[in-house]
Amino acid sequence: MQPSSALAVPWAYIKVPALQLEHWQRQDNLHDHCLVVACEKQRTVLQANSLAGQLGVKPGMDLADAWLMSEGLLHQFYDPQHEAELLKALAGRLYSYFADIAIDQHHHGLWVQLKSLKRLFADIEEVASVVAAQFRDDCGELNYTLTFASNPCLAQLGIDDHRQNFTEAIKDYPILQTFLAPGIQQKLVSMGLNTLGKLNQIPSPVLGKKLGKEVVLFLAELRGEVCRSFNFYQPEVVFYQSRQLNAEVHTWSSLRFACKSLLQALEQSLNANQQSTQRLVLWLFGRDFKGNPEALPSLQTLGVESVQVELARPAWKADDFFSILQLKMDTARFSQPIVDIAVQVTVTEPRAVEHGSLYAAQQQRTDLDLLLNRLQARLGQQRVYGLECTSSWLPEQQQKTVTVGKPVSGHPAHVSSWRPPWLVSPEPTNIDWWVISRQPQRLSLPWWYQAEPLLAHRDYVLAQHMDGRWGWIFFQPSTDTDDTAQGWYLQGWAS
Amino acid sequence: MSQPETLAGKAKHQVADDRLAKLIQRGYVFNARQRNVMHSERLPTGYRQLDKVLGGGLMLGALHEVQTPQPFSGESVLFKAALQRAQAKQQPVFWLNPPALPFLPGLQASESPHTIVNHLQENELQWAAAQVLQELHEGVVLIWQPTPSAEAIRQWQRAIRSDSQVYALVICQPMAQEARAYCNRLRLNLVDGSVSFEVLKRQGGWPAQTLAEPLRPWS
Repeated sequence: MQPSSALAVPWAYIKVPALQLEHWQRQDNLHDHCLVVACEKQRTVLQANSLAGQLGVKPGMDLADAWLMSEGLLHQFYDPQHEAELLKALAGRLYSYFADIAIDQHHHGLWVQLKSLKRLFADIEEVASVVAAQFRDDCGELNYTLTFASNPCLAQLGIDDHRQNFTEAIKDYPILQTFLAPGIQQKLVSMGLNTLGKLNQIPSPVLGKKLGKEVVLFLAELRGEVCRSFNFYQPEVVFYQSRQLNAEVHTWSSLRFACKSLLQALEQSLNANQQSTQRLVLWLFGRDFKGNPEALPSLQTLGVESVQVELARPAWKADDFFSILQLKMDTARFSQPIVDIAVQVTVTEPRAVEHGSLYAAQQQRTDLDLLLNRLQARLGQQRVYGLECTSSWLPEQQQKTVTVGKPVSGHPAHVSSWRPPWLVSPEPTNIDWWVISRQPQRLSLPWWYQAEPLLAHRDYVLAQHMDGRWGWIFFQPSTDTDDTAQGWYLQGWAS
Repeated sequence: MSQPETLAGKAKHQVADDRLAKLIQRGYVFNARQRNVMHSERLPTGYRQLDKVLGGGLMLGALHEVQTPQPFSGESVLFKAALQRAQAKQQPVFWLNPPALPFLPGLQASESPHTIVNHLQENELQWAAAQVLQELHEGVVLIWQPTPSAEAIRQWQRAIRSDSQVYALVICQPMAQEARAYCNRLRLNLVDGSVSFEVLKRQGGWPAQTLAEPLRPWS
């Protein structure tokens, strides 16, 4: 059976089998070391560099055996999240050339749909050579395989059907190398269907009856009769730019010019995308930093420091960022001379619509935002916070601290009975110091929480202290399990 | 003129400047100038006699001081009207170094944005309060500082905008009667459950004292 529309929509698949290992090797400059990336649970080698390969270390081998083969072998455990980030970063690099990129995280590769390029170049060969040249330029430092095919399934399997007939291309492809489940692969092999060519000759209804839906679907994808749905990569509006300093810098004042220039670039980028941000990171690369500052660093890297700038409200103007940074950095001391700096923004949000008629109110809101930004930057988020009402029976849980600057969104303070204006953590007090003034008010745990015996109920009273001040105190009765909690506690002040 | 004589002359000037600065700080020497009568809104203090003495209450757009023997001695009533006004107009409220956590269900003020700025050193508080007073057009600013310096008060007073509608109150310990750039200075006395105020400084009047009245709880 022939695919329905061979070469109609060409696809490319780039497989990068050792992304984590190559990133590690490049980042730490370990080109003359034997390196492997291993599975932490099974202790088997997943990725090995060429030097390790020369010594006989191969993927699938036990890590212990690999150590026996090479004494100086360095290893790192496989981190799926890190690998996914690297794949995403690769997709980001290619996105400037190819609009439709889908990430195949399970098999360490990327699909690239070449529909748009086919419109530009009449000949499919020309498309292939352009794409290959682009990959060479952009991913030259990586070991990768590039396959062109008429559908994504063929491309993923590495079957190139744009130079030869579909039947010929799949004829000798081993079933064991497909991405079918191992159980199905074994069944097919035991039935004598050990290549895709043989499988393709069996009618789909027969296969479906004997082996189920998975094989039928796989074959339909292989033939291009069905195309899986893709979640195409969409780049985040992320900003990362670095600047090399003319000389080693020891103080913030010498950094200001370069910093302003980076923030202006950030402003242009945010403005072009109509975005704003509440958080940016200033990276400081010291003399000891050995990597490339143009690539996004991690905090663990030697010689790198970061300064986090959190804003109470989203901003996009360079001056707003700079004034906060200035406050933060005024007293900063660098542990080593700085040679490069970079600014990174990872999370952005669409800029709020501004209405001219509300200018005055908006100007006040902006002033307040800037003020909160300044206070937070200088004093830290722990010391500058807001309050919001929540619903709970316990007074100490009837409000919570929140980040400042956010619109008031909590429950309104609808407490029908009297409450004091000040709240303190319950502290034991001597009832002899107080003169009770009002009838007690019993606050009790809702019946659906009655399983908690310690917090059964509290009897609150307004009382006047012997020094004249008014307080809000409560009596905590003993429970079946604990007698020590019984007594009078002060929880608020009312004067 | 020889070099040592010049140095001695400079030293004398320095001593004179220091003495003058001390006198200015204590209020014995000051710059007198004609001042425009302010017609800002006044908010009642919650104490009838005090309101009479102050001509209706504490004025917006000016810095006021209340000295209390200890926290929660009755000063909360003073800013109750200001909080209610902020709540009605959804204006911001700043609590700088409060002695405890303000309790929104008790204040009945969950509609206005409350900002707590806590655990500040003296110099941090001076900076933070100046920033807040400078930037805020309207709202409430409550500052707890046991012994604010004259310099801090001057900075805060200067930071308040001319068109400000901010209610600004500094709550501190009883202290010596040195000159301070406040609009009103009150000393709260709490004896046997009765509260009275010594008005140490007020606009357009001599110092005064109110009669003692029972301290009522927040209502």
